Amino acid sequence: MAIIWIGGGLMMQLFAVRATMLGDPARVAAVGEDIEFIALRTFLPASLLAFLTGVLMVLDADFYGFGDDWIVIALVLYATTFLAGLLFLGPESGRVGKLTEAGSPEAGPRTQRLIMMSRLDLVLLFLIVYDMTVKPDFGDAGSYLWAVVGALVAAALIFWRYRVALSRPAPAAAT
Amino acid sequence: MTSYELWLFLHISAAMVWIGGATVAQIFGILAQRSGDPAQSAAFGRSMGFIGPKIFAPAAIAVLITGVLLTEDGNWEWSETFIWLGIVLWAAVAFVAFAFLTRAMGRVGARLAAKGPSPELGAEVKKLVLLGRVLVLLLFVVVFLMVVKPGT
Repeated sequence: MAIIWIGGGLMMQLFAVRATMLGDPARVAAVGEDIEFIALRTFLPASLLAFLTGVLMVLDADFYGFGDDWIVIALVLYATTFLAGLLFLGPESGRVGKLTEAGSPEAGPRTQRLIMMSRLDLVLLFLIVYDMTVKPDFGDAGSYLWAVVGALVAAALIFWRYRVALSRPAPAAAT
Repeated sequence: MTSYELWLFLHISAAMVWIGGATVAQIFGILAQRSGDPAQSAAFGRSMGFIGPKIFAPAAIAVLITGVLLTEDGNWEWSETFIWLGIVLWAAVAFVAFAFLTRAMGRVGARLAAKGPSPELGAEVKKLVLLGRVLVLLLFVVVFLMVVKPGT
């Protein structure tokens, strides 16, 4: 389930970016609708199942507990990304799709902002994967340093790409 | 963090990009077909022609390399069923996907864009999406092998 959630999130990014690069509002709107469809019917259930199976694994295992540091970290990160998807990314992709279809000048910057936020969300998801793999405790400073540096570098690159995309003139619409 | 944990993180991340991406690409393909709009099918084919070699192929290679490093670093035996069978399935899927499927997708997308829809092209897209589905299923078999590690 985590594979579908995280790998699929990256794939949606790629489809959205390619549609935006074409500069065809109809194509961007169609991809926006597809993303909203997939997010509700695939990502939401996948993320819930990832959470439920994670809880079952902890309950089933004698050597893990909900008080373990890496499980606490994962739960906090999971809650953050789940709420971000439910309250912002999902509804906003629908709103941006409608703005694009209507030819609103707001659509371009809002699309870029949505892409940036989705990429930051992906960074959080990969942090969960890192946490699940390394299973650090709060005293493991080296593992945290790697995670924080990696996440900061990724976030800086994402923000830089966002600023570059905003400063570019909007591509001419395909006829 | 040990070197084994680093390889494991990279191995799992690359597998997520490849397998999760391919699964969601399948859904995009189904939605493009269902829309009945040849422009959408063409855009999907062209996107897959780009994503296959630029994203999936490097991810698949990263899965193999980090898998080899994990086997060496973790003192696993190459004769373990989950390892040799995983490699055989990896090779089969990678060969069909990158030597045939992504190229065929790109070609069909270009033909759809240039000539417009035809029953022949529509049938070809359906066949390619079906083949992609079989490959994704095989990849999930590999995930099962890696998680359960039968025979160990």
